[in-house]
Amino acid sequence: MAKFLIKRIGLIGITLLVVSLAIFTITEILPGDVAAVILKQEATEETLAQLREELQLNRPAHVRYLDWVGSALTGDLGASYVTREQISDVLPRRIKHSLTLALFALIFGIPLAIIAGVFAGIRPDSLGDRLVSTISLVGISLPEFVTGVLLMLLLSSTFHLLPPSSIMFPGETPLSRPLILVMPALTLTGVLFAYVMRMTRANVMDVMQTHYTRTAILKGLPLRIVLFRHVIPNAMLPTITIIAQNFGWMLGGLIIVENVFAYPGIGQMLLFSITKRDVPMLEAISLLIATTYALSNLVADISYAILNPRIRLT
Amino acid sequence: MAPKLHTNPNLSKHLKPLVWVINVIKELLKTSWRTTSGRIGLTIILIHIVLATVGHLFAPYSPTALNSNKAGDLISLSSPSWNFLLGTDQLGRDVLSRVMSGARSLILVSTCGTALGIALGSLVGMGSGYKGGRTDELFMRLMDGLMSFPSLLLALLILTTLASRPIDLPLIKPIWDELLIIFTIGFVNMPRVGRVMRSVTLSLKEMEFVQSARLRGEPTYYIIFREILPNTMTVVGVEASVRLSYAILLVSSLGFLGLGVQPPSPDWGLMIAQSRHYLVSAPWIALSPAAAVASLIIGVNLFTEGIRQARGLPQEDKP
Repeated sequence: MAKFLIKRIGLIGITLLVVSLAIFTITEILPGDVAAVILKQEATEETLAQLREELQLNRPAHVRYLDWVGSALTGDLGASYVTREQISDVLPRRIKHSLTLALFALIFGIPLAIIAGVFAGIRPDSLGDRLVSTISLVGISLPEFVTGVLLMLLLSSTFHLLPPSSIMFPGETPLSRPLILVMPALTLTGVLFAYVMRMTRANVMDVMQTHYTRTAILKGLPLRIVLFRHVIPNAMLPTITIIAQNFGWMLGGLIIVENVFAYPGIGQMLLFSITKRDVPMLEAISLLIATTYALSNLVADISYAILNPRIRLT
Repeated sequence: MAPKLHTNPNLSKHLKPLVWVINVIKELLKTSWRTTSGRIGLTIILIHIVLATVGHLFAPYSPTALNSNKAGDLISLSSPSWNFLLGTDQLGRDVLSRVMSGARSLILVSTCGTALGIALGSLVGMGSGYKGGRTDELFMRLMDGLMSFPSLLLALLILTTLASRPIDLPLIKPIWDELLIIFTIGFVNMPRVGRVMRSVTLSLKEMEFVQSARLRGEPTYYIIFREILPNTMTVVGVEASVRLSYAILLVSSLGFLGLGVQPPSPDWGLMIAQSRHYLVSAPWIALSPAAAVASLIIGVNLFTEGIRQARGLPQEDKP
């Protein structure tokens, strides 16, 4: 286990290093002068030179890269090209916003999905199962931006229940106006619900077929006890893994959802830094997302091994 | 057709891969058609394909035309009427015509991207699985690295870095946007397809027919393409239809984020993005493309679901 952990974490480290180098190289070979892109119309020979000096663009690329890695490892991610703010000052607030949204969606979605999955799985092909399965198929099929816009249309434009966008004013936190969280969280939940529900359903169906469950039913235990004592604990094992995997996957959904609702999290920041060619910001956010994604996959694998001793991690 | 092929043995040899592909598609369609989900899915897909191929002949207006009335004023944000069945958008363009012509580029780009992803993934997966050892280890770590990004983030990174250096060749310039997206989709799908193909290859390469080909002294490319590849076709088929639905999702999401086909070309994702400002006064601008993209993906997913049901495969969902 220790060996496995060291190997995996080492691999994640190498991957991140390669990824950071790749992003740096690619942005480096891009045509066009970063300074010119930032200044646009205000670009004169003088201001350009000044900005280049300020952003240290005159130094050779490999020196800048090594410099960046060195300071990144000590927690200094550099300053944004566009706003000139320190990234390590701006990013934590954004991360907090995104995390709030993600947790909100998980708290909403997971219990609901598990209940629906168990409900559908104990009676496969019943009317209830068909209904739940159809809902989940639609949930998987709808892109986040479609769900988001439909929710906006319904809850905000038609019934005026919720604010149409999740723009936050300076000094506000998502929790100070929880209403703005509802629609983004619901949108994220849509896909999450579908995945977790389908997995739970499949697992419950498997467990229902096992000998111990049949024995429990045949010896006359009430269904409630069979479910809570035998079926659910066993069916939950893979579901926990799926939740960990989905957490990483949700980050992709965050990019879309935050842009649909103008919610100020890392996803919105990412798109902003892409359109503005804010290389340090882009690099920081990409690495952050990649790290979270890799770590949640690692957690998924470990949880699977702990919950299921038959799996040996190598 | 058959005797004709025999007269030219070379032609029939080169057409063989094409024949496999056609057979696989036929087989998949048949399998899926056996289930209710499959039949519904295929019908939806068929409607979309028909609209995408011949829809423009029936589209009442040009998708990019700014329609104005006799007095010369733009007919913008007009609600659905006999003149404009699905209404007009903020610039007075006919929503129905735009939705119809948006289908073509989305379907074409997603399908080509999926095909590219399957081709690249098969090549990497089969080669790596067949070679084994160090090569395999290296390739799989590379694939793991690529998969440590959510696919949308990877697509965004590839697309933005490539998009800023357009290549000025006369032939490909007009379709540069589309080519970029196709490449991006192919690249994003490659590691996921590669994994599947590798595991199939690992089990196939121990089979007797592969072993005997090896003993006969056949070259590696022969074994991979002539012995292993034909036997992976069913797996490839299912994988392709799963990948296709993610490709459509990804392409339309990129469009929504403003990184897809550039305006004024109609793009469902972009239409939805722009419609957000008019949700209160003109909800139809959002609803039509939303319904279109949702139904297309639901159709593809139902089709896949049908194959899984008919073959008794488990539901696996890995984005």
